[in-house]
Amino acid sequence: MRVAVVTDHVPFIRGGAEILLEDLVEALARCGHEVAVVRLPWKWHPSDAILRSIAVARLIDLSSELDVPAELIIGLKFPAYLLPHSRKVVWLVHQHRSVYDLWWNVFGLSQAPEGQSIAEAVIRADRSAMTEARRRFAISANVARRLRDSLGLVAEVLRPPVRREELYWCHSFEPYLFFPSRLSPLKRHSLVLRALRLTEHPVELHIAGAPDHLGMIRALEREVAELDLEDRVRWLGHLEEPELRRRYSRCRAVVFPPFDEDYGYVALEALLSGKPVITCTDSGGVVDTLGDSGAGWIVEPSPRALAAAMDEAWEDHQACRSRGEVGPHRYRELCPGWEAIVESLLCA
Amino acid sequence: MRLSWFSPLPPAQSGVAEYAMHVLPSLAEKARVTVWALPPWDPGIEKLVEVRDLSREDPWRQLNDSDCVVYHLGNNGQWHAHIWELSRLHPGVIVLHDLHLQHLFVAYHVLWKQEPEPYVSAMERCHGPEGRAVALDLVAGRTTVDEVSERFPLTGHALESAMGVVTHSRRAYRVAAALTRCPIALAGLPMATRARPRADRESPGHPCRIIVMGFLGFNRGLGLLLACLHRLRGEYDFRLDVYGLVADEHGLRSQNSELNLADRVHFHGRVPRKELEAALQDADIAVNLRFPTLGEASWSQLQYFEHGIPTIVTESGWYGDLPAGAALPVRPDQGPEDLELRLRELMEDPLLRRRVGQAGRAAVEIHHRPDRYVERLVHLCHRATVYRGDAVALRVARTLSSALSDLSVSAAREAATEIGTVLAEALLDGKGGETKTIPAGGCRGREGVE
Amino acid sequence: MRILLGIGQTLFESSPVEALANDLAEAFEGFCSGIEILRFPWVRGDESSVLRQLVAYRSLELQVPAAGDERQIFVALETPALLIPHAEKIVWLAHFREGPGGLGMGTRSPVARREWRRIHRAALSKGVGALHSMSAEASWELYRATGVEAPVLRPPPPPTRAPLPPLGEDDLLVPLAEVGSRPLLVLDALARTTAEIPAVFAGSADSCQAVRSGAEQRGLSFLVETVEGDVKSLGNRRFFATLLANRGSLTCWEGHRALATSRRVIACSDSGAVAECLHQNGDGDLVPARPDKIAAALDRIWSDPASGEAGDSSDHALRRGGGGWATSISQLIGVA
Repeated sequence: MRVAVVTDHVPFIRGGAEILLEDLVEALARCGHEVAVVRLPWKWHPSDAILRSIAVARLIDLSSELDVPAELIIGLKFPAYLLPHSRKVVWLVHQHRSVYDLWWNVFGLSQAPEGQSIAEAVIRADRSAMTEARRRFAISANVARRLRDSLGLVAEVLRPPVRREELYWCHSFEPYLFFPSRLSPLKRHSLVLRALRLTEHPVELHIAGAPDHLGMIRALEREVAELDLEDRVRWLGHLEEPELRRRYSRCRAVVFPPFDEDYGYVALEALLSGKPVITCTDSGGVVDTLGDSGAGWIVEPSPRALAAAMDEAWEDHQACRSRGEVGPHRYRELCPGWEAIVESLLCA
Repeated sequence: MRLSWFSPLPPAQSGVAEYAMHVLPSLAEKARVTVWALPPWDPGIEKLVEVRDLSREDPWRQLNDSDCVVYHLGNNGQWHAHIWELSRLHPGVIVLHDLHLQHLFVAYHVLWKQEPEPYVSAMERCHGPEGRAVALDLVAGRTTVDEVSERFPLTGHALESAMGVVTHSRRAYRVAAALTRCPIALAGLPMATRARPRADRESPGHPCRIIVMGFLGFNRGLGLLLACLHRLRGEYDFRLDVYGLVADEHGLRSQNSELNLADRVHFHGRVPRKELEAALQDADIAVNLRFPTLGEASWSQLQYFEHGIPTIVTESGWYGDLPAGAALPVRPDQGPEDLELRLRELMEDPLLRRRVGQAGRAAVEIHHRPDRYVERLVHLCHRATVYRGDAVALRVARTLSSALSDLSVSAAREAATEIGTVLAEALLDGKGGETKTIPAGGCRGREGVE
Repeated sequence: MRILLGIGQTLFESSPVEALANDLAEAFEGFCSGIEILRFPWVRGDESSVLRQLVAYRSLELQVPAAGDERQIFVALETPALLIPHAEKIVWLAHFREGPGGLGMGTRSPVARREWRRIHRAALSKGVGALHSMSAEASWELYRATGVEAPVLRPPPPPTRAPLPPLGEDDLLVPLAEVGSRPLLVLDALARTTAEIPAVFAGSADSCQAVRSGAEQRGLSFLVETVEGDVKSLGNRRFFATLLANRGSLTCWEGHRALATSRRVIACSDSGAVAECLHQNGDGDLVPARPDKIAAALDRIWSDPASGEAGDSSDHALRRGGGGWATSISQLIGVA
C-alpha cells in the first residue's frame, strides 16, 4: 500500500516526535509498504499566524493526485493532520497544546489578545479533521485523555516502542542520577535543580540533551551557579544513542519530571534499562507509563518532594534495583511492537 | 453569561459614563460582569460589578475567559481611543454611541499613535479614493476634522472587527447593517429615571429659563440660537444657561456681546452634578440642536425627558425618530425660522410646555427602560458568541486574500468559491443540515468588494 | 546563521532536486550553524487542485526566529518553495518545469498553466532577496514562462564527492541518472559504432534492467555490463571515456566528476547544465542526442585516444574562476 505519513516540521528541533516519525516510516517499509513522508512547515507565532496555517493545510488535498496518489495517510500532529484525504488515520502525538491543556499556562493562548478566537478556529478545525479520520489513535493514555476532555472524541492508545529496544541493558548502579531530555521549559530542569539543592545526600546529577535555543542552556548554567551546584551537576550535551544507552545502563535512577508530557520516551528507556524513574504526579504520560508497577517514584511537583525521592534513590541501592527490575516487564505490557502498530494503523 | 465591559465610568465627564451607571445595575442581575476602566472611578460602582484597572494589567486572560466582550465607542478620543484599540485586538460587541467617529480616529491614529497611514488607509477602505484624498488633506492640515466629519464618518472602521453591534437609533441600525454581517441590535438608550419632573411646569417663573447642555461642538447651533434670542429679546423675558464645554466659547461670547445678550445668556462651563441637576429642575425649555447630527442618541436629551423639560430638537437622525409630541422639531433647512417659531410657541403657551414635557417623560419611561435594554444587549451577546465562530472562519479565509489577488480575476473568483466551501466544511458548525459556505467576498478580504 | 533549503516533493517519486539539496546541505555545512531541507508536497491534480495549491503556497508562512536569535535564510530551489513568502528569501533555481515530468502540474488545463505562470511571476518579482539560477537552461525555462530574468550562478562541485577511478583503456562508462537517463539512446549508438566498444552502465536497478533488456534486443549483451549503484561502486575500474547522455542535469557535477579524472567526455547537447558547462569551457565533446552522432564521436575517440582531450585535468576548466563555495555563498547571501 502507498502510505503517506504527515506531520509538522519545526526546523532544527529534534525530539521524540521526530524519532517516532522515523521509526514509523521504517516499520511501514519493513512491512512492505511504500512510504512517503510529508512534513508541513508552519507558523504559530504571532498567534494569528495559526489561522493561516489552518487554511493552508486544508487546501493541500493529497487524494487529488492524478498520477500516484497515497492510498492512506497517517496524521501525527497539528496542523498536518488537517490535510484532507479520503482515507485518513490519525495517530495523535499531540494537539496544539497552547489551545488545550496549556491554555492557562504562560505558553498558552489565553495570554494572547486574540486567544479565544484563534482557539475556537483550532478547535473547530481539529474537530473536523478528527471526525473525518476513519480511525483515531493516540500515542499514550495521556494524549487520548486530552482528546477526550477537549473534544469529546475517543482514541485508541497505541504506544510506539523505543528505538533499538534490544540494545538497552542494566549494567550497574553507579552514583549518579541521569536526566536525559531536550532542554526546554516544560521539561522542568529548573525544578530538578532546586530539588537537588535540597537533598540531604550529595546527589550527583548528569544532564544530557540539546537545548531548544541557546538562551536555555545559559539560563540553566546561571541557575546552577546561583544554587552552588557546580560540583554536583554535569552537562553532557547531546549524546549519540550508544552513549545514551550506556549512561542509562549505569545510572542509579532516572530523573524525569516534565510538565504533562505527551508520552515520555525517557521513562520507557529507563524501564528497558531496568532503572527506576523519579517523576511527578503532573508529568502526564510518564505517570501513565509507570502506572502501578512500582517502577519508580511519583511525587508532588515540588522541590522538596523531588529531593526526598532523589535522596531515597541515592541512599537505598536495593530500592533502586528492585524498582528497576520491574521495568522490562512493564515495558512489554505497554508496547506491542511495530508490526502490531502498523497492522492497527492500516486496517482502517 | 460572563461579560467583560469597556467604557468610561463616573466621574469621567462623558455621556457614556453616565449611561454605564444606568445599565450596569440591571446588567449585573443578568450576567457576571467585569468592567475594565482607567482610573479614577466612583468606588460605589464596585458594589455592583467587579472593576479592574486597565492601566495596571493586561486584560487578555480575563477576556479569553469571558463569553462576550462589550466595547463602548463614542466620538471622544480621550475616553474611547484605547477602547477601540483593544476591540481590534480582541473582537467583541461594539456599542455605537456615535455614528460619526472622525474625531475618535484622528485622535487615535494621528495624535496619539502619530501614525497617519492607517488612518489614511481606513479612509480609503471606507470612503474610497475621495476619502483617501481628504485624509491626506487633513493630515497635511489643509482641512479640519469638523469639516470632514459629516461626509466621512468612518463608522465602518469602528465595525471592522465587530462580532456584534448595538445601536440606539434606526438610522444607526441601517448604517451598521450596510457595513457589517455580524448581528445587530436596536435598543433605546437606557435611562433609569430618578428625577421627578417639576410639578408647576405650566406656571413659569419669570424669566423663562432656557437650558442647553452637553459637549457643545460647532454643530450644536448655539450661534443660531443666540441670533434667534436677539430677535426675541424685546418681546419675551427669558434667560439662557449654557452648561458644558463649548467649542468656540470665545466666538460665542463675542457674539453674545454684540447682540446685547450678555445679561440674558450665561456660560457656566462644566459644573458639579448637583448644580446641573438643580439647573435641569429649574429649566422651562431645553434646546438641543444638531446641524448636522454627528451622533447617535443623545444622553442630554434623555435627561431633558427625565426632568419633563419640553425640548426643541433638529428633525434629523435619532431626533427624527422620537415619538410624536415628545419634542418640538426644527427642520434642518428652515433652522432660523422654525427655531424662532418653536421658542415663541413654548414661551407663550404653558400648557404646551406641560404637554410636551409629559410626553417626553413618558417616552423615556416606555422606550428607554434599562431592563429592556439589558435584555436586548444580553440576547445580542449570545448571538455574537455564535457569530464569533463563523467570523473566525471568515478570517481564516481572509488570510488567503493576498495570494488570491495574485491570480487573475476569473481564476481568483473560482478559487475563492472553492476555498470558501473547503474552509466552511472545516470551520463552520453544521447545524440541522444547514449548508454553510464562506462567501467568496470573505476570501477576497476587501470590505464590500465581491 | 541558519539555512533552510526549500524544495518540492512529489510523493512516491524520486527527484533529482532531492539529491541536489542533500549535496548542497553538505556543501553549506561549513558556512552556517545549521541547515535543514524543507520539502513542500506538490499534488499533480486537476485545475482546481493546482489553483488551490498555488494559493496555499503563496499564503504559507514559515516561523521566523525571534529577535536576538540567529538569522535564518530561506533558499528556494524549485516550485513550490519558490512561491512561499519569506523576509529573507533567496531563490537559487534548480529548474522550472510546468508540465508533467519534474515538479510540474498533472493537468494540462490552460487556465492552470496561465495562473501557474502568473503566480510565479508575482512571487519572483517582489520580496526576493536575490534571484539566481543554477544553469542557463533553468534561466531560460523561467524566462520563457514568466518573463523573469535570473542570472546564472553555477554551484561549484560538491566538496566531498569521490572522484571517478583513473582513466583506462578498457570500457566506456555510462552513468545513468535516476531521472532523465536514456539508456536506449546509448544502446542505439553503440549498435552503430564501427568498433565494438564495451560499455559499463551504472545506475539504479530499474535502469540496469532496462539496459539489459535493450541490449538483448539489439544483440549487444556481450558488450554491455550493468552495475547497480552509483559510480562509487565501480571501485578501481578504468574507463577510456565517459558518455553523459542523461537529460536535464541540474548542475555541472556529472561533468566535474568525469573531467576530474578523465580527459575524455562526450555529452549530449541537451543534457542540461552539464552541456552548458562543457560548451562554455570548451571541455569535452558535445554531440546532438542522436545515435549516429554519438556513435561517430565514440568511434573517433576510440580510434584516436588523443582527440577529445580537454587540457589539464588536475584543476580543470570547470573550476577556473569558480572560486568555490565561499564565493558562491557570498554571492547568494551577500546580496540578500
